[in-house]
Amino acid sequence: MRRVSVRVGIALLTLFVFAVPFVIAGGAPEADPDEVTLRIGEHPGPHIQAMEEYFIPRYEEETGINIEMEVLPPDQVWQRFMLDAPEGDWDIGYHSPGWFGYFYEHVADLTPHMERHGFDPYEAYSQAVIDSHMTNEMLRPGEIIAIARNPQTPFYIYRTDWFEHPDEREAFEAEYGRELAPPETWEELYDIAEFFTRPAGETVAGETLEENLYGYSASVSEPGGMARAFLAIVYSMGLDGFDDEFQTDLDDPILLEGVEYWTRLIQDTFPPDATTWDFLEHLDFFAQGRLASAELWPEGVLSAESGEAEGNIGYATFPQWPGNRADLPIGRSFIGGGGVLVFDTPNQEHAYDFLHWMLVENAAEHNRRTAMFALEETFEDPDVLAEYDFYDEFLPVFQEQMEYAFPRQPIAEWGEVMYTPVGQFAADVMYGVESPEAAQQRLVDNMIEVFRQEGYID
Amino acid sequence: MSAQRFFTPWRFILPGAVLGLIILGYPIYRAIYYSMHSIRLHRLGNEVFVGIDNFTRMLSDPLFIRSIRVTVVFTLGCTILAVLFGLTIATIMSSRGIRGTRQARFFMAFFLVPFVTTQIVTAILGRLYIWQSQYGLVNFILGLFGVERVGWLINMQTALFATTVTNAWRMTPLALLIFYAALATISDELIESAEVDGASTWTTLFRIKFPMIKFHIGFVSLVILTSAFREFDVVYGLTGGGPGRSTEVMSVLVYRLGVAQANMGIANAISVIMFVIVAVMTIIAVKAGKLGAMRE
Repeated sequence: MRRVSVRVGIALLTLFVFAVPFVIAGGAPEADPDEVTLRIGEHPGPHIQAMEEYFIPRYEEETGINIEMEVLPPDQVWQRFMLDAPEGDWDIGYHSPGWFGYFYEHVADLTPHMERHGFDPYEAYSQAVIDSHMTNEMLRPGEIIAIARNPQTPFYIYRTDWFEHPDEREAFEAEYGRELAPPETWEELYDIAEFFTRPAGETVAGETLEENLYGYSASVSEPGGMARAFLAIVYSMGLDGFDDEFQTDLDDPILLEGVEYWTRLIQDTFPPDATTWDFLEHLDFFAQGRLASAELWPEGVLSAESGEAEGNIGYATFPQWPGNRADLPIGRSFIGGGGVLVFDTPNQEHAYDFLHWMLVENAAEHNRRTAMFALEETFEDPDVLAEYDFYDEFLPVFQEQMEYAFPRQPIAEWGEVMYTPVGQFAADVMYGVESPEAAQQRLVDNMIEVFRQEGYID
Repeated sequence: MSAQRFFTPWRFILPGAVLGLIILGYPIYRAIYYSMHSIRLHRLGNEVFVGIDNFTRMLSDPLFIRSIRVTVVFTLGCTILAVLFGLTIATIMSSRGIRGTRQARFFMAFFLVPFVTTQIVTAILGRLYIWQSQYGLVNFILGLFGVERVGWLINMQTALFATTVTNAWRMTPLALLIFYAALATISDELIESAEVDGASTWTTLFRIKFPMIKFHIGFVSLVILTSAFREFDVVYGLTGGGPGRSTEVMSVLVYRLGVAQANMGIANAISVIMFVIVAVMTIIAVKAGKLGAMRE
C-alpha cells in the first residue's frame, strides 16, 4: 500500500513539474513553422499547376512551412478521405458537397480560424455559395466547413459571328418566324440547335462546311456526364428531387416531358461522340467550330475561348422552362465545382492560414492563374476583369446564373438518389432500354428505398 | 481402416483447407449473408434481414434479365473467338517448317503481349486506338476499302461486338500457349504416315491433330468461359456498360448497383447467382470431361 502511494506521489509531482510551465505558456507550444508539414489531398484541375508552380513554393519561402500535395484520381478522392481522415493523414482536402457526409466527423470548423483573420464569409460569398459549398446544416450545424474555390453552375454559350450573320438571321426568321437570338425557352434552344445542325458541304455564315456542324452539345457519357447535363433540365423544370421531409417530386409528369425533350435534343442536334464525353470535352469541339452553341461549365471557359471560337462567343443564362414548378424566370442547374476543407489535425491553424493566404488574400492572383471564381468581390475586381476581354460579358452572366443555381441537399446519399440514378434514367429512356414511365418509377422507387434504408422516412 | 490411417491424410490437407476456407469460404459466406439482407455500402453492420426478397426482385427485373442475355452473348462470343484464334495461330506456328524457327519464336512472344497486358490497359487501348470512330485502327483499315466510319462503341448494335472481340483478343494467348504445347506433343511420324496414306492437310487437322488435343480444347474453353463470364475490367474500361446498357454484363451491373448506388444487398444477390452459374458450368464441364475420358 505504501509503495503504491509513493508511486502516485511521484506521478503527481512529475505532472506538476511539466504542467506548470505548460499552463503558464498558455497551452500547447506552437510548432516551429520549419517543422510543420501540411499534407494536401487534391482533385485534378486548373488550380494544380498554379499551386505547384506558384502558391506552394511562395508560401513555403515566406513561412518556412513545408507543403506536400498529392493529386488523387477523381473517383478515389472521397474514398481516400473516408479511409485516411480518421488517421489524420491529410491536413487539407478537396471539398465536394456531395462527398462531405463520408468523413464529416473529421473536418475542422473554420469559424474560429476565420475570426482570427477578421474574415466574415457571409459578406464575402453569395448566399448560394455559402449554402452549397461552405456549410452543412444537417451534419455540422452552425459551422463553416470549407472555403469555396470554384463554385459554378452551367449556362449557355453561342457563336456570335454566326448568330449575327445576315444570311443566318434571314434564314432563321423565314423558318421559325422570329429573330435569331439566344433562346428564352428550352424549346427555342432546340429550334436554334436544329437550325444549325448541318451536314458537311452546306454553308454556315457564308463558309462551306468541311465537316458536319452540330447545333448544341454537352458532354453526356453515361451515367456521370448524362446526369450532369440532364440535371439542368430537371432543375429548370422547378423540380428539387426531394424536399426537407424527404418526399420526392420526381414522380411529377413534367419529368416525362423533360426526358422526351432531352432525348429529342440529343438525337437531333448533338454530335454522336458526345455520348463518350465525360465533362468538358464538347468545348474542344466548340472551339474547333463544329458547334453553334453549347453548355458551359465556367471552369471550361478558356477551352471554349480558343481556336476558331475565340472572341466569337456570346454568353447567356439558361433558358426558361415554361410551366416550371418553381416559377423560375430562367433555367438553372445545380451548383457544382468545389472548395477546400481542413481536417481536424494538430496542423489545422497552419492549414487554414495557407488557404486564407491563397484564396482570400491572393484571390485576384488565384483567379488570374486558374480562372476560378468564388469571392463576390472578384467578379467586379478591375484587375481580374482586365485579364481577358471576354470577362466583361462572361462574369456578369456567370454571376446571374449563380443567383438561380440549385444548392444540392446536404446529404451523403445525394449521388445515390439523384446524380447516378437521374443520369441512368435519362440514358435508359434515350436508348429505349425502358419506357419513360417505367424508368421514372425505377428512379422514384430507388430514392424511396434509399431514404427508408437510411432512416430518413418510415 | 485404422484411425491413424484415416486421419493422416486429413493432417496434411488441414493447413491448405483452413487457408482455403479463410480466403474463399469467408467471402462466399459474407456474400450469401449480405444477399439476404437489405444493406447499404456505407452502413455495413446495419443490415435488415429480407430473406430471398433480393433474389425474387432481381429475377423479375427486366434490366437483370437483359444483363443475363448480354453476359451469355459476350461469354460465348469470347470463348468461341479466342479458341478459334488460338487454334488457328497454334496450328500455323506448330506446323513443320515454321515450328522452332527464330521468326516463330518472335511471333510467339509477340502474340503473348495481350495476355500480359493489364485488363484496364487493354480496355483503354481498345477505346482510344482500336475502336475509336475517328482515329481508330479498325475504321482506318475499313476506310482503305471505302467503308464509312462506324461508331463502334457508341452504337448499341456494334458495342457488344467490339467489346467481345477485344476480350477475345486478350484471352487468345492463353489458348495459343496451351494448344501450341499440345500440338507439339503430336509426333511428326504420325502426321507423315497419314500423309503417305494420302491424307490432306485438312484431314490431318480434323481427323488427327484436333481430336488428339480435344481435352485441351475443352479445358481452355472452360477457363475462358468462366473468365469471360466474370469479366469486368475490359467491359467497364471500354464502354462502362453502355451505350444504353448494351454491354452491361452481370459484373458491371453488380458494380453499378453495389458501388455507384450503394445497394449491397442486391449486388450480392447477383454475385451469388453468378457464383452458382459458374459453379454449375464448371461441374458440367468437369463431368463431361470425365465421361469423355472414360469412353476413350
